[in-house]
Amino acid sequence: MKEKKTILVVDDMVQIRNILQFSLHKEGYDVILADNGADAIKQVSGDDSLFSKTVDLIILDIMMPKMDGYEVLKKLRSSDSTKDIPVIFLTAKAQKKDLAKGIEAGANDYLVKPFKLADLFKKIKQLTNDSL
Amino acid sequence: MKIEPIEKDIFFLRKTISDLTEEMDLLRMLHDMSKQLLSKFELNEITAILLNIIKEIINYNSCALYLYNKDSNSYKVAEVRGISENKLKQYKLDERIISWAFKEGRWAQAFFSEHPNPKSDELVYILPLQSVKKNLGFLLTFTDPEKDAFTPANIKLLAFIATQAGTALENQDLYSELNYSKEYINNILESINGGLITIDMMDKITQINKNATAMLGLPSGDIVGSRYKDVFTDIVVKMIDNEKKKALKDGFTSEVLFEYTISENLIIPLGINSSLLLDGAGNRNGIIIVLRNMAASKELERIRQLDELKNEFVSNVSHELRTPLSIIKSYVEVMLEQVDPDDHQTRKEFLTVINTETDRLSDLVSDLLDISRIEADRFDIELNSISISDIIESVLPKLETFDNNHNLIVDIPSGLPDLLADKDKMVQVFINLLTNALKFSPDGGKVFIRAEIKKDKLKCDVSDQGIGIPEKDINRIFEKFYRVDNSDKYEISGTGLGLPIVNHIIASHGGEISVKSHLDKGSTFTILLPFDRN
Repeated sequence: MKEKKTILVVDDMVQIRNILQFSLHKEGYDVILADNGADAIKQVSGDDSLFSKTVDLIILDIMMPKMDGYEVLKKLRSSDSTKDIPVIFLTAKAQKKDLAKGIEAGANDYLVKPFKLADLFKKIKQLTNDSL
Repeated sequence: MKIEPIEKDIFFLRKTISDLTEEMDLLRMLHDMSKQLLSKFELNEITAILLNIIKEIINYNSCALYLYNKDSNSYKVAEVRGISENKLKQYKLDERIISWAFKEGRWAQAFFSEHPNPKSDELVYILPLQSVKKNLGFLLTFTDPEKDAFTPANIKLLAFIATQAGTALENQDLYSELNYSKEYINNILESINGGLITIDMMDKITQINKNATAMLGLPSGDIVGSRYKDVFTDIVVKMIDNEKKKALKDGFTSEVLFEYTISENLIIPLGINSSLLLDGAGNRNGIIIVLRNMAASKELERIRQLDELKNEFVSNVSHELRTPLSIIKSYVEVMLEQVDPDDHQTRKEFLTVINTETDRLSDLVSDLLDISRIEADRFDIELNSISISDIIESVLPKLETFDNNHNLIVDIPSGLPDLLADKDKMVQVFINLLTNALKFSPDGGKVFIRAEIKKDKLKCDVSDQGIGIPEKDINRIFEKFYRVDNSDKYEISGTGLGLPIVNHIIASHGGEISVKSHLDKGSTFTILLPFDRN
């Protein structure tokens, strides 16, 4: 059996983290969670030995306290170890300028809340080359 | 040496004395004439005097004065005596004679190419009027030949008069130009959309326009020439002192704003700036102070801000609606697609989340409805006797689902008198205030709710140890749609409706709300509410 892909879900809303964890888990992914940007960076950078797992994809919220999604992405893209991790923005910011800002910041894809789970799964598969 | 008989000498002496007397009379007359001519600056006065003097000398039958007209680049009749302008028009004057008279600068006899009355034996003469630089006009005189007006003495006199008249006319021209420029500049100063004051280096007011007088609420009356310290109010004097100091140092000042109190209920926002006045040689001449009434631009700024607020509001509301909607949708989808129908535990857990989020959505919709009711002045409250403890008891369960990372400390003594209040609305007030306190506090932060009697009112504090409110925003947080922009530090969502609604509810209960805040230390909202008098 192929090794499970690991997805990091970064969102300050506990309800979103929980449902994505449940759903992605059912889809056959390993899921790790972060409720803020700093924690997310720590987890993928491998600074924390507890979470030394490689992350295959990140689902990232934009509006979060302390460090927003754009900044998290900027930090990820500026480090060699994390610059290639696919990132999907998942956000309630629905204005065109927000979408443009997200893509400009280097996001691979974008989903506006409320979203269809099927759309999310499709995007994840595309970005992880998963044939599941 | 030959001695002449005494009689001859006496005759000679007499003649000399008479000649000298005549000469003196002539000089006196010339002096008087030129004094008369040069004392006038109005064109019609000068021409009248000129024609009178010439009448005295040559006793003309009629005359016509032509003056150069800049606009038509020709000589036009300025004044006539003893002849009508219409009749004058019938004379066709040979222009070559005029040119000759100007060129020679002296009298010339005029000839006409057409003469209305060929039998007339009147003599017609042209007297050119010139200044050093230019030809100003000429005088046509019609005289009887037998009067012998053109004696050498008269010709001398007339030449002199023509020169004096030329000078007087040129002076008049310069004077009227000067007057025109002065009037023109005055019109500019008065029409300019702003107040203008100039003071000289001795602090005397040299110019002040009506706008400045109005803006500073000064009594009308001529204050030009007074020292500004003697006529302006202390506050204006202080302001001008400051401007003067800076302008003398740097040559100019940047515009500063200040609220100027004209009278008890009239305060206008004034923009003031000034610069150094220099004369042609670059010497300091004084200060020019420019005042602008900023009320109009403030109003525009306010409308622009309101527009911005509304756009931001729409985007905020959209975000606020999307968040619970997306949670509900995800949970429903997962339940439909992925949750085992027999997994009752998970289903119940998910349904609880959906339920809470539905409440959140409906609260948001109520907020939107409330604000539109407030706008339409249809926000009704239903007053009943109720205790603060009852209100807080209804609030707490709703908060638990929202947050369990904070330490909420409730300190409400028992036995406080009842309030006359709308319970649902009061619950809304405390939910809003407590939700804010939690939302803007770090995890683990303490949030307090305290109540006590203060005089005849209930005083209730909701305080947190959160991020605080910047000073520049604190006066605006109760304005609808207004949100503190702290996006550089935090992305905290909200619609900007909570506090305006709270404010309105408290006010409609006859209460008051105030806030104290320190950045990064926390905020305290204090509510004062009247007790139920029954």
